Amino acid sequence: MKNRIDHCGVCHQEKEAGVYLYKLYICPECEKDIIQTAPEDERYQYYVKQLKDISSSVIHS
Amino acid sequence: MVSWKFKGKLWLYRVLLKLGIKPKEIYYIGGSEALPPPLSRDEEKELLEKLPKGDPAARAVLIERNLRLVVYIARKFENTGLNIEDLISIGTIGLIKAVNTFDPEKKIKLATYASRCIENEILMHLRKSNKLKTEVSFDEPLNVDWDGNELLLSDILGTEEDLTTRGIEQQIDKKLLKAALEQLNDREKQIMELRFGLIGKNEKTQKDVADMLGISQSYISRLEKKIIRRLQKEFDKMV
Repeated sequence: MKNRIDHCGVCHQEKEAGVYLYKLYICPECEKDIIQTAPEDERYQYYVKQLKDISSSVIHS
Repeated sequence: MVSWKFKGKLWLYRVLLKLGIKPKEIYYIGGSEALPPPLSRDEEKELLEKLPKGDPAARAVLIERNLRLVVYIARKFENTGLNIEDLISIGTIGLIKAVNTFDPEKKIKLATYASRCIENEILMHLRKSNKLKTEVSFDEPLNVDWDGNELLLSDILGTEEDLTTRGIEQQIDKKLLKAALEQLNDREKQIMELRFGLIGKNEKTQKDVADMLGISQSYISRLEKKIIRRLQKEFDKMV
């Protein structure tokens, strides 16, 4: 079965074969990058911001 | 024993994932506003067996069903100044890292491993934030005027204007002083050298010089004033 493409909530590109975390779709590339990013890295804060989509849902549930 | 219901849900999730559809009803027990419940031991075991094979559905469910753990740990850090949304985001990053790096072969529970990863992620972020608090950027705006122009820290930082010329001027002054000293007689020259350490030695007091030359301190004082006036005249002639 061919993977369907969806809008990644982190890089905002149409990507396939990602995972849905709560209400946020994360593409494999972003997921891999998040794993390899440390708090010292510049893009870390960006990921924290993007993942707030999950946390805001979590807080109110 | 994993229930057929759970297996069915996981299969359905996998199919819907392929189709790019996120089915909320699969694990949002109690509707979309409920936090996904933790997995039972058997359910977790089933998913952990699939994890090393790179099953995205298993990975996603394992992350989601441990979000309660993230919230629980994040709340412990609420008094650190970071807002709860940030703490949960950072904790979620820790959880994603935990599920992706978890080795089921090692006899440790996922919840134990994930808790350490989540806490570690938050602590690392806090350490970085504390380190940054002691650092100041050159581009830090100190003030903004009525026109909206920012006064930056770099605008008020600088070196003293004469920093580059000071060394050169000192060298010239030394040469002038040396030339002026040549105009003095030996005794006067010796007094100045001793008093002001001109020959690479420490400065001596008027009393020390007086004792060394066998004359009174008041006489040294008078001589010193006279010699300085004379040196000043020699300087004026030279420049």
